[in-house]
Amino acid sequence: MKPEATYLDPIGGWRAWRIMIFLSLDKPVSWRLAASGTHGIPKFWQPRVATDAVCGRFESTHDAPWPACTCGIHAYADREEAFEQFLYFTAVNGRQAVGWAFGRVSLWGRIVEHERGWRAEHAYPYDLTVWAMPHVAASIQSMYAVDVDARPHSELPRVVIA
Amino acid sequence: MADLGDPLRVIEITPLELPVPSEDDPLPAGEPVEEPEHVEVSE
Repeated sequence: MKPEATYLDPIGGWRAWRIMIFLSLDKPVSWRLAASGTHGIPKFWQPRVATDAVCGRFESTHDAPWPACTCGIHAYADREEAFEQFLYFTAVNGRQAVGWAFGRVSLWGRIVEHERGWRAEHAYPYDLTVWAMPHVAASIQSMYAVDVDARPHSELPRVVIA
Repeated sequence: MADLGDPLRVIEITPLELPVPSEDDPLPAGEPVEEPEHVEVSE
């Protein structure tokens, strides 16, 4: 399928990330941005390299994002809608994270445009609000080289899922 | 899974410069600089 239009400027969307501990065989323990939901593919966003979409379905035979699939790197167009999704993820997946991040993400490559956001082929965080221990937030800022508004983990907004 | 609504169209974005900082890029403003590690130099 050929794209309907081609642009030069990356799209700026809104999304959330878990912050998870990352173990390496030959490097000190560090932290990574990770998909905010348990089904997010790829799980980890590596610092200073683009995150590339892949389709995580076992039977998949296509590029990502694919128009008729749900694969691709998701982002919302509207900040408030993305923040509602962020609150949901913190409520259902909170125990698996050492912190949370929310902010803008640059999207480029092949993009499936939706009514309320996008599924992208490539992405990199643009700026973040991070709720975590101060040294974790500082590490995220320096590793990913993005602006970070650091907040205490105790100030993470909470909702109760009925 | 994010509910993004129905798909509308497929577009392509080919930025002239990738929005990814390189290893050589400076840290963001406000990043505290840690003390450099002390190294013993033998004469």
